[in-house]
Amino acid sequence: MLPGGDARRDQALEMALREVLPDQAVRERPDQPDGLVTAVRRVPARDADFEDLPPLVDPRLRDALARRGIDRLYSHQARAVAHALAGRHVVVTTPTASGKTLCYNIPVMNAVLADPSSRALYLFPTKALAQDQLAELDRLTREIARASDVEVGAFTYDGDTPQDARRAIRGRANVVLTNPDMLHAGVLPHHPKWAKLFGGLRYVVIDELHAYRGVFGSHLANVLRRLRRVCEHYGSSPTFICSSATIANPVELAESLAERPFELVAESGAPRGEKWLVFVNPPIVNRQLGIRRSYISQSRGLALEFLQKGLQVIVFAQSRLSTEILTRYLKDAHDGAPGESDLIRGYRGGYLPHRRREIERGLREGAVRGVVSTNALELGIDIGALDVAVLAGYPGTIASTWQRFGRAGRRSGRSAGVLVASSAPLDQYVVRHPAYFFDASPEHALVNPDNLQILVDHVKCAAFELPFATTDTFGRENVQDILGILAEEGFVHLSRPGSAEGAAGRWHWTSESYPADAISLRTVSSDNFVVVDVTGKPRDIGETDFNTALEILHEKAIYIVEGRLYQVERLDVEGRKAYVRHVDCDYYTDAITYSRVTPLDTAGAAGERPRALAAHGDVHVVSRVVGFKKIKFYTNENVGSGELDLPERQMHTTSYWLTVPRELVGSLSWPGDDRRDGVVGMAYAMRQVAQLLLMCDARDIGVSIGSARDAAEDGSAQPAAGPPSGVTPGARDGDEPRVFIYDNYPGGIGFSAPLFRMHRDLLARTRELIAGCPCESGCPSCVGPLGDVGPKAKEVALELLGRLQ
Amino acid sequence: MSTDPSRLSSRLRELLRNAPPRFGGRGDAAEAAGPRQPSAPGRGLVYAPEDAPSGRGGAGGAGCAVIERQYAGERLHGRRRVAEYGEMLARCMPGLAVLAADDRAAAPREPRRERLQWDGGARLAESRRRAGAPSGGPLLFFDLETTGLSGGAGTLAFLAGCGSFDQDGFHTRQLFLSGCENERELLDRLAGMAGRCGGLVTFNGRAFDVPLIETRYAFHRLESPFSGLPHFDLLHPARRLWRRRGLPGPSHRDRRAGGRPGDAASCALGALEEAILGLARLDDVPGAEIPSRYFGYLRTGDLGPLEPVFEHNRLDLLSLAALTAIAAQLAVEGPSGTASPHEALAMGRIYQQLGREDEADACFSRASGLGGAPWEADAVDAGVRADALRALARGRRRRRRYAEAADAWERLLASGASLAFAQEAREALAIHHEHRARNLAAARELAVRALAAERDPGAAAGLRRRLARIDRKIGASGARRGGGD
Repeated sequence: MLPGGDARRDQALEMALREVLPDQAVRERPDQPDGLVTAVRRVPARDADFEDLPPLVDPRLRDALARRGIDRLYSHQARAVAHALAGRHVVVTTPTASGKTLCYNIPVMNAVLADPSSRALYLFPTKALAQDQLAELDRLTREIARASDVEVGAFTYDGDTPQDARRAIRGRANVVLTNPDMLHAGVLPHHPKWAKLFGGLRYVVIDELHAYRGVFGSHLANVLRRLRRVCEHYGSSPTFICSSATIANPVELAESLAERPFELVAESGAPRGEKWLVFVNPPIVNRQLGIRRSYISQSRGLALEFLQKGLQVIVFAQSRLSTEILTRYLKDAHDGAPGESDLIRGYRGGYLPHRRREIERGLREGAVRGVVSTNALELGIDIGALDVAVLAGYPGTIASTWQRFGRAGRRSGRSAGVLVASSAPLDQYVVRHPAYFFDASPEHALVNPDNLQILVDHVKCAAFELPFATTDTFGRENVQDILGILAEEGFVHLSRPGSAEGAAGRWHWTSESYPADAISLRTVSSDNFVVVDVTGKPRDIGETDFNTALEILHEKAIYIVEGRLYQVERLDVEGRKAYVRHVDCDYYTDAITYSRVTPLDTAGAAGERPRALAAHGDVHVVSRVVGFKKIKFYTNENVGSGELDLPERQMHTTSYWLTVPRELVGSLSWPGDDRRDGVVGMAYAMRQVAQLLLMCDARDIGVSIGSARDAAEDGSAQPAAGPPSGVTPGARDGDEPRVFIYDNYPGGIGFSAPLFRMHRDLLARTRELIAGCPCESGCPSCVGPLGDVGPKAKEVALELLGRLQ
Repeated sequence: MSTDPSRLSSRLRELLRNAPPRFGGRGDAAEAAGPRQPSAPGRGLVYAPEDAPSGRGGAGGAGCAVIERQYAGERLHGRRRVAEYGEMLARCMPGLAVLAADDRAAAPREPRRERLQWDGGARLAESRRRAGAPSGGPLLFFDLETTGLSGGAGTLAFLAGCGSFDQDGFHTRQLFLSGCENERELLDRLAGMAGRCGGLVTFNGRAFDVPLIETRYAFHRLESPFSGLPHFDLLHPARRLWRRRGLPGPSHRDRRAGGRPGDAASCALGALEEAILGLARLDDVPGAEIPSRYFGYLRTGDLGPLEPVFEHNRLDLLSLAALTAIAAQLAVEGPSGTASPHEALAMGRIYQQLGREDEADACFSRASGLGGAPWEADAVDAGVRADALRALARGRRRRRRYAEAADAWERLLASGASLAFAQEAREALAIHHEHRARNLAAARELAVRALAAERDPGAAAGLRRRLARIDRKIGASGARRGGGD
C-alpha cells in the first residue's frame, strides 16, 4: 500500500461525509428523528491489545506463524486459544476481520503436531465459507510443512466433493471442513467409514454460530447430540470452539446447541480505526399516504458520493432484485467506458463460484471499487476491508446490521457505515429511534432443540447410527418414550440385553430406510414444492417448503427468482409442483391468509384487568390462503386482487397472546368498526416489533386476531374448535379481542416464551412505533395501509396501547 | 419443558403417521409377508461351537446361530451335478486369474490399493505365508442378506452365507443374527471362517457385500478379516461373458443410440442361473421382501417366514459356485471351450486385454463363424458377428498382418454391418489398398463409396482429401506410364 494512503482516504472520506451531513460538519450531534439524517455517531479508534502466544503452543507452530508474520496474538485470540488448549469449550464473539480464524486454527494445528492422529471438524453454514476458510488454512499448513515436515491434511467435504476423493479424505484428513447438512446426511450415518475422524476428534469448530437460530439451529442441536453419541462410541470427547457475530446470548446459544458449558471471549483486542455511523431516512413525498422517497435511489446517491471521492464501497441490498437494480444504477453512473474493467460489481448467492472468487479478489486488490451484495457477503468471506458500507434498508436485526457495518473499516484510518431506511415499519422504527439500535443489546438467538417433530426425526437418525440403550438419554424429553412409540410403528426393535454389551437392552433400527435422507435441516418438514418453469422446455427453478408454498405459489402469484418474474399458472398440491411462466409486469403479489388460533394449553399468564392480559402456550392454528393483492413495485400501490380456493392447513405450535379486556373495549368511545380497526392496526405494528425483538425473519412468526368469548380469561385451555367458517376476525359486543403472535413452524421454535417475557417492551415499543410515525392517520410504516385498516386505526390503536400498559 | 405424557405419545403417533409416504414400502412389505405357519423356533439351526474363537462368544447366551447344509455331489443343480462343478473349478482355478486380470484391466481408474485383488495364487500364497496363515484353503463363496440396500451404520447383515466345495459336494454354513445384540459374535465367527479360506468369491461383492461387512467390523472397531483376502467378484466377468448370451440383446446400432449393452439381457444372478445353469427356482422369496421378513422375526421370534430366505441364500451360494466354475472353465479351455458366438466374442476381448493376441484372434474368428467354428457364420447374431470381425480386423492390423486384416474388413463390409462399422472398414481397406496392396483403383472405389455414405462433414472432408490424393497418384502413375511408353 502506498505511504500516505490512509491519510488520503481519510481526507476523501471527510469530504464525502460533509456532502452527506446536514450542516456540512463531521461531528456527533443529538438524534433528529424527523430529519433526513436522524443520527450521526462516532466509534472511536482503538489500539491493538497484544498478548504472547500461550506457552503450550508447539515451537514448530510458532515458527510457522512467525513465517506468516504472526509472533504475538491479539488478546482475544490468546484467551480463546488458552481456553481451547485447556480443553474448555469456548465461544468467541468479536467483530468481522478481527482474526477469529486463528482462535481455532492454533489449537487444532497444535493438536495435530502433538499427535498426527488428531482430527478436527469445522462446520460452516455454507459451502462457500468452507472453501474460503480452506484457502486460509492451506496457507498455514504450508508453513507448518516447511517448519516441521508434518503434512497436515485439510479438506472440504460436501456435496461437491468427487466420489473418488471421498475415501482418501475419510482416511487422511486431519481437518474436515463441511456443513451441518453434510454432517447430518453424509457423515454421521456412515460413521464406521469415518472411524479415524471420530476416534481422533479433538476439536469441533462451529463458525458463524449466530446463523444457527430458529429451525436450522434446532436441527443443528440435534445433529450435535448425534455427533456426541458417535464420538462416545469411538472414545473421543471433542472440545467445541465457536465463533459468533455479536448477539445478546452467545453463551446461551452455544450451550443450547452443544449442550456443554462454554467460556466467553467477547472483548476484541484487534486494532480498529475511527468509524462514523450515519442513519438516513429518505424524505416524505406524500404525508397523507406516508410515502417516502425510494430508499433505493437514496442509497444510490449516497454510494455515488463516496465512489466519486475514490473510496471503496460495499452496498448491501435487501433482496436479489434490489441488488441487481442497484448494481445497474451504479454501473450506469460510475463504470468506465465499455471494455474497461468493471469498477462496479454485483454479488449474490446465484452467481457461479468462479465469478464470485473473481469479485472477491477484485475487492481485496482494489480493482473493484464498488460492490452491491445481498447478505451473501455478510458472512465471513474474505474481501479485505473497505472504506464505506451503505445499507439499503434495515437488515432486520441489530446483529446483522453490525456485521454489515463491519465490512467497512480498516485496522487504521477512518471508515463509515450508512443505513438508509425503507418505509417498512421495522426500518422506520430503527431510523427514528437510533438509541434503540446503539444502546440496546443485540437480539437473542433462539432455538428449540426439543421441538417434537425435529426431535423425533433425529431420534430416528440416531437410532440408525447407534442403537439406543434403555438407559440412554437424548435431549430433555424422555427418549425412551419416543423409542417405545417408534417401536410400535416398526422403526426400532428392543433387543435382549446382549452378553457382550453389558446389562442394558438396546433399541435397534429395523427399517430399510435411511432416515437422514428424508430430513432437511433447513425446514421442519421435508415436504417440498418444486417450482417448474414452463416458459420453454420445462425446468426446475426453485423449491419451497410446504408451509410457505400456498402463500407464494398460489395460482396467479408472482414468483421472483434472480430478478426474473414468473407467474404461477397451476399449483398441483397433490403432486407438490407449481408450474410458472416468465412474465413482464410491474407488480408483485401478497397473499391474504386468514388464520384462526385456538389455545390448547397455557404455559404462563400475566396481567390484571382492566389492563393487558398476556399469556403463552400451545395453540392450534388453522389457516387458509383466501386471496391475494397485487402490489405495484416501487410505489407499493395496491393495484388489484383475486380470490383463491386453497386447502386449509392445520398446525400445532406455540404462541404468545394478548387479550384486550372487555372493560377496556367497552370504555372506548369509538363504534365497533373503528375498535376493530384499532385492534387490527395494533396487531400489524406488534408483529413488526415482535420481529425486531425476536431477531427473526418475517416468515418465522404469524399473527392472528381472535376473540375470547367467556369469562375464563386467565388462560385456561379451550377445546380446539373446528375449521374457520368465514368468520371475520375481530371484536363483537361482549367479546374480548385477542392478538396471537405464533411460531410459524409446527411444534414451535422457541419464540413464544421469550416474547411473553418481553411483553411490556413489546407494547411500549409498538406504541413508540405508531406514535413516532409522521403520517396523519395510518400508513404501511405503522398500522398498515390506510385502505386496509380504515381511517381511525392509528388513533384507536394508540388509545388502546395507552390504556393497556 | 413439561409435556403431558399421553399428549406426547398421541402427538408422536400423529407425527409419525402423517409422515410423507416417501418410504411407505416398510409397512406394505411387512403385510405382504403375511401370516405364516408358525414353525418351531430354532428349527434347522445348528450351533457350531468349534467355530467360536476361544475365550469369546457362546458363553451364557444363544450366541450366533449357524445353519449348516450339505449338498451331496450327486445332486443336480441345473443341468449338472454339484460334484461336476467342484471338479471343474478344481481343474480350472487358473481361469479365475485370467478373468480377474481382465477385470482389473477393464477398470483402470479404480486405484489398485483400494481393491481386494485376485492374484491367481502366487502372491496370495506369499502374503499368507508371511502373515503366518495356513496357505491354500478352500475358496469361500460369500453372500449376505441385509436389512436394507442403502448402507450406512444402520444397515445390518443378518445372514452371512458361506459355502465351499468339499469331498462330499458343496457345504454351506450360514451365520444368522438371531438377535441384534449378537452381531459381534457373528463377526468373530465369520472372521474365523475367512481366516481359514484361500480366497473370497462373490457376486457384486466388491460394491456391496464386502464394503457392508467391513462397515460392520469398523462399527465394532474390529479389524476386518477381508481386507487382506483375495477376492474374485464374478459380476464383472459374468457381464462380459454373458450379457449378450444369445438373447436378442440390443445391437450395436442401438448402442450408438445410447442403449447400454446388456439392457435386454439381465446379468442378475437369478437370470444367469436360468440361462447358463438351466435352473428354475420355484417359490423363491422376492428380494424386496427379505428385510421385512427379518424385522418380522425380530418382533415375533417366528423363524417360519425366514426359512425361504435361508434357502434363497443357499441357492445363491450354490449358483455362484457353479457359475464361477463355468466361467473358470471357459477361461482355461480357451477358444475351443466357448459354447456360443457370444462367449467366444467375450473371451476374445478378455484375451485381448491380457495381450494374448493369438487366443484373442482365435476367439474372434470363432465368434464370426470362421476357423472351424461349430456354427455357421450366417447363424451368428449380426451384431455379435460385426463386433467380432471388427475386433479381428483391428487385432490383425495391430500385429501388422495386413492381408489377414483386409480379409476381415472385407467380411465385415460384406456382412451388412452398421454405417459406422462399414465406414471404418471402407476407410481401413482404402488405406490398405492405397499404401500396402498398391491397388489404387480398388482404393479409389472404396473411398468413393465411403464418401457417398458419409454424413459427417468433417469425415467427408477427410475422405475428399484422400480421394484427391489417390487421384493424384493415379494421375502421376498414369503419366509415368504414359511418359515411359
